[in-house]
Amino acid sequence: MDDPNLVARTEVSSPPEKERFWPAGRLEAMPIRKLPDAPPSIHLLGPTVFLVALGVGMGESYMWPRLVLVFGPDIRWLFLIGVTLQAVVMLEMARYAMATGESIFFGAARVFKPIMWFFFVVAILVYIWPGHLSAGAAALERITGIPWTVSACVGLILVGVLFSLAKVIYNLLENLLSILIGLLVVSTAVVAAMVGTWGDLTSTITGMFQFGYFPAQAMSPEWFPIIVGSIAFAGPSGMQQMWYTLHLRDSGAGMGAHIPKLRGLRHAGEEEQMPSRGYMFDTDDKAELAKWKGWRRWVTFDALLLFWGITMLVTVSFTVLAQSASRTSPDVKALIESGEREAALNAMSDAFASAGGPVLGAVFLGFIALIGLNATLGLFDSFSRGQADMTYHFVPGAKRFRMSHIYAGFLWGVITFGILILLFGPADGPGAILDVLAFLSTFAMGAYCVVLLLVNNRMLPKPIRPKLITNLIIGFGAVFYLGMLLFSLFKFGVVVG
Amino acid sequence: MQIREGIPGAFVGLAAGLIAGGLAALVGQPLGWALVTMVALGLPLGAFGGGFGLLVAAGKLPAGRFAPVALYWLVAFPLARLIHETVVSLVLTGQVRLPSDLAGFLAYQGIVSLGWAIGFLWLHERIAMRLRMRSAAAAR
Repeated sequence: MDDPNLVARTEVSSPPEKERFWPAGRLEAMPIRKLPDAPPSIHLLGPTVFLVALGVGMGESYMWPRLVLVFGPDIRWLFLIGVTLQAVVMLEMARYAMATGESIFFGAARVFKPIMWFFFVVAILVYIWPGHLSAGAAALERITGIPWTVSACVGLILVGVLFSLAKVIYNLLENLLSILIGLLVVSTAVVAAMVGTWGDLTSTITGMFQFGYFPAQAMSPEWFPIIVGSIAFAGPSGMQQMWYTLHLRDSGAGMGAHIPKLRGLRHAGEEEQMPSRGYMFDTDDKAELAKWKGWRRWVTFDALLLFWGITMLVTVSFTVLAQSASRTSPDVKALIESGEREAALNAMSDAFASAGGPVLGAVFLGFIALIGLNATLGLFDSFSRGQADMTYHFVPGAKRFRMSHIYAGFLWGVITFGILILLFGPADGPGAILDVLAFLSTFAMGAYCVVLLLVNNRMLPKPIRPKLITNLIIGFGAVFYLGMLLFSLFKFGVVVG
Repeated sequence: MQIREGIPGAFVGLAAGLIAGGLAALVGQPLGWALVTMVALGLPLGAFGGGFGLLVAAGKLPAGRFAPVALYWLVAFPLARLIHETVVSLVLTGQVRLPSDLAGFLAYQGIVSLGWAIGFLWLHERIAMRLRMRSAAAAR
């Protein structure tokens, strides 16, 4: 069957004799429907794969190894805080999406529509630039010799064609990314097992618990913004967590089972009518609440083991590799400190080659290319999905089209723009607004923490609202991201690095 | 007990050896070295991976939980790496040479095994699910 949610939808979506509603905010109330049964713990490896694909990127493979070489392994306690905070954010994003089948953008609109439009605009400003392709494509160029702009442009078109031909985009992407991430994790473990040492590993791990370590040099205008950026880039950054709610819904988690799946352009005609809002389950019914607890256990397993565990594994492995590289080739430390990303990545690759034979140099570049590919696949889909969701529900007249058509419009729009910029413009965005983009990306993270607090505490029924401790952690997240960002701006006059 | 329950785990282990050896050959390592790595790492990982699937099928290990997988590989992964190191030294130098700090080596491999266990489980579940769906479709 193409759409496993179909059974759940047809079994539980039909309205009961006497329709009941859950009113949330000023938008349309949510009809009450049955919550599907939760799956056993790991037998539905689900949408976390998207978050891992997007989240494991330059932060883990480059930015944190770099900070460790400059400040020593003890600086990693900040990484631990950053990733743990993101795991809690993931659980809270999932709370709203699984309880309603709506995206967090819809939730934000229920609180106050301009908040949602803010995210709509930020997504376009920040994610339309194809700069994220450059690191992976440049690594591929080093291995194969194919110029990076060529592989980036070909890659863009392939992504567009792939997503347009797919019957159900989510299924295709989940299968593809699962294999890629699985290979990344297995190979990272094997390579780390062959080249790392006990000493590197213990210093990397114990460094994560040196709470409060902050050398004087880190408090400089040169390094503080980089550290803030690295904390923000520990795990998923920018709006990636918000997009996760859309993948969660499409995977059929919780009340997402009542929402039809997004289809590729070629199969758009088969898409069922998208409902104009989500659904709520009966939170006064004990049996329903028991099922809800099952869903929470499932997503907690995903958050802790798959998301937190894999992010930690990749970054610990890369840090161990960077430490062994800097021992064999002291030049690499100077290059990495200098901040030239491409030169540093190449230097790290060379150092690995001298430490463990040419195989390691190529493996390192292969990982960077793989990470870049994962991020690009995930990013294009996520961006288009998020924009399509907001457009379909909140742009007047957009419901005349199918969601798949709007998705395809955004997808091909961002691909066309990306190719034009790769060929003729600055890949990361115009130099003059780079700081604004970096500011917006981190600001969005503080802003979504505030949105989470509002949405989960005001738009959900009391029995499924977050506990006080969760609210405190998310509140801390808002203060942490926004406070560090503004402190960096006012104290040093620099946005994040 | 059906032997095919061991296929997904054996496949993941063999694939890991293939990746390690294949990359070695790709970047110009001597073919012999690449082949030894491929066999000496792939076979033990494949055997332990297949063994895991068979134990689950026989009901000796619970399915659907992470802790048993992690504990299994905490023992099996360091053993597989030890076999790999020993065989490589035997083939390349003609002598059986154990790692100089054996306890440190095993402890380090034990910690890395946690990461391996996550990746193994991830791929194993996916391949096993696909095989189950295929055999269910064939049965219909």
